[in-house]
Amino acid sequence: MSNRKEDAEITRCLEELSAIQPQPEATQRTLHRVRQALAARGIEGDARTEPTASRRGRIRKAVSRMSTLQKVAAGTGLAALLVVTGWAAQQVYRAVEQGTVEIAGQVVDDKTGKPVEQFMLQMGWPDAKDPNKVGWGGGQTSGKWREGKFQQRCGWTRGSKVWFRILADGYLPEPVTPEPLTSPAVAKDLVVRLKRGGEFRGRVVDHTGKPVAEATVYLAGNQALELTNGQNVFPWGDPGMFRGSKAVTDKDGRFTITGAGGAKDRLVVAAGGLVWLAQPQPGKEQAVRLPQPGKVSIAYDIEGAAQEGLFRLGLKTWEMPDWKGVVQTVRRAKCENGRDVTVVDLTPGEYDVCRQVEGLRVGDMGHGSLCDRGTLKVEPGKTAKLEFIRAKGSRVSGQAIGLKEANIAGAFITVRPEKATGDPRSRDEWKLPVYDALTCGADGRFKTSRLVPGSYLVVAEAYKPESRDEMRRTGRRLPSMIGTAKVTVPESGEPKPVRIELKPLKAVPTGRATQPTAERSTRKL
Amino acid sequence: MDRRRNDVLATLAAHGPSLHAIVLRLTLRHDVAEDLMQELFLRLAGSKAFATADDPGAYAACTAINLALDWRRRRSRDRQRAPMPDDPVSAGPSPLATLVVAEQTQAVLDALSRLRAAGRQVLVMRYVQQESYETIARRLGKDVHQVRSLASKALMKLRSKLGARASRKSEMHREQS
Repeated sequence: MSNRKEDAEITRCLEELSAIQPQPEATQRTLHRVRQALAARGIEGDARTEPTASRRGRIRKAVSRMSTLQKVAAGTGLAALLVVTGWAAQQVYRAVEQGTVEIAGQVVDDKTGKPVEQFMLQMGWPDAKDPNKVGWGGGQTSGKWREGKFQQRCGWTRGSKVWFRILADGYLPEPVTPEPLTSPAVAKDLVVRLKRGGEFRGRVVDHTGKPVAEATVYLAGNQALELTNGQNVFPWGDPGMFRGSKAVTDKDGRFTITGAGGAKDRLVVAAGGLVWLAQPQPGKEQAVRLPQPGKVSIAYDIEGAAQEGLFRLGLKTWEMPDWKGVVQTVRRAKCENGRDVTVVDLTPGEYDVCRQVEGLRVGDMGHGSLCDRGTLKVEPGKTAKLEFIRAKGSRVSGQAIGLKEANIAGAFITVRPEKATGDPRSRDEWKLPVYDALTCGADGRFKTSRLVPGSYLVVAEAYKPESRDEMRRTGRRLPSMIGTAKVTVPESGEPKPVRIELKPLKAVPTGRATQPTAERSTRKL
Repeated sequence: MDRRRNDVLATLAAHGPSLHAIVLRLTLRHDVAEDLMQELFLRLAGSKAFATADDPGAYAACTAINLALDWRRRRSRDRQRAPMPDDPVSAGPSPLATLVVAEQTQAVLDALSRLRAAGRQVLVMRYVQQESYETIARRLGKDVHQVRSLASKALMKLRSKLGARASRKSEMHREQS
């Protein structure tokens, strides 16, 4: 290709980017967060000042009086108003109760004194059941932390304790401060000296006894390890959060892993997609024998569903006592509609399987859905069958009414079992299966994928763009409008188009019982 | 301090949406754009050069371009360190055309992030933001001829970087096969 043509190609690529326009809601939200960040540094004019102890006491008292009034006014027209004002007072109370914990320091090797570059800062808090125990949560890393230096500032409930520790490959976990900090607190110029722990040596062999080369061995147990297709990465491709010790086996299957000595040390071996757990034995070369892997054959044929289906097979490690809390492993596989694929190298065990619908988006709201969820048993050396086929039945078309009047850009449509309520606040609704998930535009028209003959509940949920105040709220976002319609797919022919009247979601006072518990229903495959 | 604070807030009010658009176009990720916008304004708030800049909007735009392209460069480094998991069953053909276009755009942006600051700023303003050479010259405090020459040289560099990348890729394919 000539230079002129190449230049035209490059400029065309760049010019196409100018068509990307952020949605006004997204820009509004981003600028709002920028203002918050500036306010936190005292740059924005309306930065909230720290409330004094006496002000906090007055707010606490007001909240307590409000709840007494609510009890007195129960059953009268005043009760609803008091519930709303009570909720607002709670929010203010929570906001002023929030303190700030700030730490900064440097991580160095205990022997050499040199800075350690790759590490993770993990936060912990008292266990709800036993306050003397520490529950360790998510970790923090940053590209801005250079030469072992770290800095962290976070909101934390006043008077409550928080622990910090450093995790790094080849080192033992090391607390940042000898004692937990109590919010609000500032601890700066800290030096965390990481100690090299002991060594585990071993050899990984497959079920026939042959050495397995290039298998990754993780020293897990002290921090969560999540594997996607056998690698420490998130499903979307970013590197995973695990920052502990790991090693790769040589051509004889041998490995040496340092950083041993933690109370909960476990060895997790990932060879391709096969994942296995072993109890480490210090002081001798350990043989880790992998089980014979199983296979799953996936058949996907659903008219009107995504052309390229995404399937998720999660080993139910949460039901396996030795594995629980140590490792989570997920296999993701793609398959063209109307074709079959076989997933190989699967760890034998029970799997939670589903068809994943990703990237559903309407306006400033987006989510995914796990459709046709079920349980599948994979046995060593055998091929289990997983069918996502709907040979009979028909597609259901319909319209959600009321979107244009409410000035909403579209709605999320889900197809659920007939017995579902459709109420998003229902505590156990998520346990029921979902047969299809899609979106519709402002005209409300939709057409589902093919559904097998039977009765269903079609649910439409619409979200109004969030206001500035609503954006500040955390927690689950409920739909602004909701509507349901029952539909029966006959053995032959198409059902009549469904019509879903969208209505505003009625407020339910906090603490009241919502919907009855739904029975868990996943299919056995 | 007060003047700098006022400048930051005024820039946020006047140029916030356009800066957000620049960052989004160069990163192609909403979550990253949001993070980088916060970083941008915190950086501007602490910058002496911003306080003395003749055109704070232009200064903020250049900083935004640098931040977004730096992120892209860092990201491509991280991606090399931690490759995407091999999907053992992705044998079926995917929507090829979409993929090719997306990969082309990513490749051009990655190569752009490896150019010198002045060159990449001019290219982004000219082709991504679709600004005229006169406007770019005014914003960067240069004359039009200098800007044209910068754009032409940057485009040449970009072409050679993309060419080198393509030949590296084909070598890798040959080795694998």
